[in-house]
Amino acid sequence: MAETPKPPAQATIEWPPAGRRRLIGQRISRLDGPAKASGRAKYSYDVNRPGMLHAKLVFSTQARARITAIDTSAAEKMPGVRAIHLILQPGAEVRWVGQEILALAADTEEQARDAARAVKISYEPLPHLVADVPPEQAGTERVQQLREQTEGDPDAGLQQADVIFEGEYGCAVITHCCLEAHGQVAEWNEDNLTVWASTQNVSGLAPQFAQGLQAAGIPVQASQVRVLTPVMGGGFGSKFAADTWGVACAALARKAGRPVKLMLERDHELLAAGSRPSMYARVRVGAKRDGTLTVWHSESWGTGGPSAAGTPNLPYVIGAGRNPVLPKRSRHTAVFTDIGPARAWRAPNHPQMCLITMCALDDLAAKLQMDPLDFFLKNLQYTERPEVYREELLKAADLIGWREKWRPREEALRAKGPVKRGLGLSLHTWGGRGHNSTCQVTIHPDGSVEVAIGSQDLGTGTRTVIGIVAAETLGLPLEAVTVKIGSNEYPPSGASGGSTTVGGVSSSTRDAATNALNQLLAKVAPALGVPAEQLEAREGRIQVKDDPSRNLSWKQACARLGTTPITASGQTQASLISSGVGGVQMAEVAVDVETGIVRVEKMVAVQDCGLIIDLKTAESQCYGAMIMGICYALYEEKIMDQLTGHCLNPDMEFYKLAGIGDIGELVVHMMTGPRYEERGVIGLGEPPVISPGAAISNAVANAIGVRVPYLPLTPDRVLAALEAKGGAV
Amino acid sequence: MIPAAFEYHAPKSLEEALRLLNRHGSEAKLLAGGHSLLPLMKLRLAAPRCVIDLGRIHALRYIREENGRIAIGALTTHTEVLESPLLRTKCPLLPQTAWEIGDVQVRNRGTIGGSLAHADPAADYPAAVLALDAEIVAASADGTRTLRAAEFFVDMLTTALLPGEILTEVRVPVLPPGTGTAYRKLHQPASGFAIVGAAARLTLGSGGKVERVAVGLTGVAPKAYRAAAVEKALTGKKASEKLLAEAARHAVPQDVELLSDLHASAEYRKAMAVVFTRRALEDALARAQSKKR
Ligand SMILES: Cc1cc2nc3c(=O)[nH]c(=O)nc-3n(C[C@H](O)[C@H](O)[C@H](O)COP(=O)(O)OP(=O)(O)OC[C@H]3O[C@@H](n4cnc5c(N)ncnc54)[C@H](O)[C@@H]3O)c2cc1C
Repeated sequence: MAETPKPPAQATIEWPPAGRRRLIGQRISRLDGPAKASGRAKYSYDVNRPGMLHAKLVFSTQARARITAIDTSAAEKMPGVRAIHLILQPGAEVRWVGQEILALAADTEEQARDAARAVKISYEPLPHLVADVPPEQAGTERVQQLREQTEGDPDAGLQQADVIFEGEYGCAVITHCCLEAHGQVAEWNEDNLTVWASTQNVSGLAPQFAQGLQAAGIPVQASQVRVLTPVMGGGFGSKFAADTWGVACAALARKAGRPVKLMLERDHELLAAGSRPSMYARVRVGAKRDGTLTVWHSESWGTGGPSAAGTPNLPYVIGAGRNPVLPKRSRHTAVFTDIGPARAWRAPNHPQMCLITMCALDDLAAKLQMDPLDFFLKNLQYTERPEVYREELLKAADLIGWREKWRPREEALRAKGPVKRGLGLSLHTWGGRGHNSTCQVTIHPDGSVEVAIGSQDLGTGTRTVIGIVAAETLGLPLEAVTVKIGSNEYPPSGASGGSTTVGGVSSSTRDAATNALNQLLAKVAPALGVPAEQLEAREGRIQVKDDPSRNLSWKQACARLGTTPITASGQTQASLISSGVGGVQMAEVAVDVETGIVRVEKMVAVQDCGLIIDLKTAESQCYGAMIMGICYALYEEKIMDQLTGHCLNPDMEFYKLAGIGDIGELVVHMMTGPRYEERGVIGLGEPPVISPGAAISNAVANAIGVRVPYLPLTPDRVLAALEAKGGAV
Repeated sequence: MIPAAFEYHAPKSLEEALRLLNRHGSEAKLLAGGHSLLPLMKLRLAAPRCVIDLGRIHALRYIREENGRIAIGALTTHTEVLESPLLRTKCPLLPQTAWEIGDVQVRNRGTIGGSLAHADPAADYPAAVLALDAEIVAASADGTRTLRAAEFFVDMLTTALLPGEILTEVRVPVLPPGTGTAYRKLHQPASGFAIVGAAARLTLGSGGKVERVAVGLTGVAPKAYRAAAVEKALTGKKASEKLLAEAARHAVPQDVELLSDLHASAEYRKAMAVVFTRRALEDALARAQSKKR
């Protein structure tokens, strides 16, 4: 061919209209499901390299102390020990039990563990605080007021209220408890480093490794660091960084001249690899007799360990709207403790703010003797999306049978037998705008297609979503597309946090695939005798739009590329994404008032997230989030020993998560249809995990006639609340 | 997570096992289902030099009726107890209890002899064998002796078995007509062991009077015990819901040392001992009444 025809002019990129979608919006099983279910998928944990050493960390046994000496002489002489790397030096201060002090590598895991035990660290203890106390009990040097906020006229709001409710609410510090612990395998090849890391940030890790290693005296540049995360087993916001153990692992590999694996042990995972800050609040809310809210007051606090966690914005959802403004005054104080560092936990701050707001409002509704469903419906004008929430509330009510089942608090308690039932609800919101993502699509002359993005699949279905968008755009079946993610050798994408991934990767894939297709159409247009603009890719063919009988099969079309593949890149497209979702959850619980045991019988999640790429993995996000929500609502708590400063439950026996028998029936309804889909793609990782705590707490209050103020709703707390009320009957 | 090295023996007869046990003395550990011993060895809380596996001694695996009692071989698994038609009809408390042990895998591996010999304070069988006034047979090179359940449990993880003895058999009574039994348990959420387990056996006499009653409690204290004060409060009285509730309040005698951990404080355990004793008694009474009719 003498001249290459010009590609058609670029129009604004769009999603295919509803009637034209073949894959987008269907229920499609995740691409890596069989590999994961059968154990063929290789996690960082599963990577074993020839000659690989095993590393273990030695961590602080003191909640707060100065390190006076680190004696590794005995450990150095232990069998199999190859290298030791100090993370902290004598003189440094440790701030929590579990803070990393050094790492060592040995031939076998057992040798490394034995050697770690032989390291002697001497400390000069300093006073610690591991109690999750209100600011007035923490001492002035340990508190910092973060925000005082007033809107409207809260004093007038109190005057206008016919009914005022005052209550205290909160939730404990919990951990991320990733099933695949943090860690990595590091291997050097000359001056180039490869890291198989369990990370949410494959494109962003190399500079962190370079910086950390340079600080440790090992000169290496980001361009020399390859990061691989083919699959990973959960991060929830705790796996964005190279971390001390990542740098230590690479440094040990350098020193020993052998690959090194360092994955955290379960106890260390729970001690140091991330926790969610606690939040507590004293709340005063007022409303008119008809249920219309007039005012919100809150005084909140919480601990994120040694540094301040984010500032909450209370009240949550209801009262966040601007038109009208709910008069409010809120103040938040951070308490610094020695319990270990906080990390972003799925929807940072939101589950806590949601619990405090929705429980206070539910209690106010009870005092008004109103059905909370009516009460919340009545106050939707104070939200940013009244119509969405109305629709979702009514849908959820329908799915759980709210109108038939709901009884006022006192009535539920009169039910016969020790098991009382109740219903509760909650509302939530999240942003979820797509991050910056770049994608490269390659169409080979043999018809095969590759999509490469430097993103990662945390288990959410990212790989599948990318494949669906590429296949949809190219008119191919999903199997025809090979998705390549989990390497920083692919075009960079943002970290997977804050529900930003799906918007980023779906729109960059749509862009890149469209660009690649346009090149292909331009190539084959002469053969079909029409301008490229009149061609489309559908069902494995390139065809003339108005006359599909004139077509080339995909293979025939690609064969015309000769020997040169097409590559095209794409970026996040603002026209394909947006942000801001609403969700409603309702819970039905059964509470045994003699044992205090709460069972979630049924939960309903109604959620919007704009245009849904894969309905199945979207629903799966909601199921998983509700399970995670049941865990933190009923079980999870980092329990600290005040005297020694140690965490008492850094294991899976006493840090109990829900098992299959604890979960009950889960129902998910995703909002679809033109009004939702026209908004484009919005993230879903965070939203559905926000409401479970509040919905379950409200359901328990409904069942037993009294609020159990703090999560988790453990049997002793339930019994204590009942006792304070004067018993179950 | 890997046990220390040990010598392994798999005798095929009780005599051979006893000889081995005699030879190796305190350096040896008997292995039955392994579900309690192996975790201890993996954590290196136990590091026996020699392990004598009883698993091949098929002669210790049976459930049969003998002289008005039911004899159960020490190597009988929890599943075999659970599924035994003989026990289900003549002494249902044992199958009722076995049903509450762990999960399917645990029930398929764990043995009644291992569970009793281990004397875990949170194990289920001890409550049932106490409530049944079971006999426990121990064999040694010098012969056999029969212990009463009440004297078998000595302390946490400690029984009346002597070094050199093997538990060979458990004997439980054929329950008389008019008897109802029940085992009610508060599960430890992670492992499924008992935070509190209450086994009740109740025989109704004429006029709906409680002729005989026994309650065994596990999980509450370092060793399982009989709730004698509950039994006393019921015996000879006309059974009613109210009476059972009042009697159950005596489930935890003053001198009992209560266990306490992160799943259940001593206070909570004590409260639950009362609740589960009552629930077990209620179930047992309902069954006794339905059989009477
Ligand atoms: C995950 C899990 C959950 C469990 N949940 C429960 C539960 O809910 N309730 C419950 O009751 N149990 C539970 N168990 C324990 C289980 O029932 C054990 O199997 C049982 O307690 C021990 O029986 P075994 O046959 O496995 O004994 P082994 O572990 O083999 O032995 C236990 C001890 O008894 C000794 N021994 C064994 N047989 C004899 C004998 N014939 N004579 C003398 N000494 C002997 C051994 O030397 C050892 O010291 C659980 C176990 C696991 C692993």
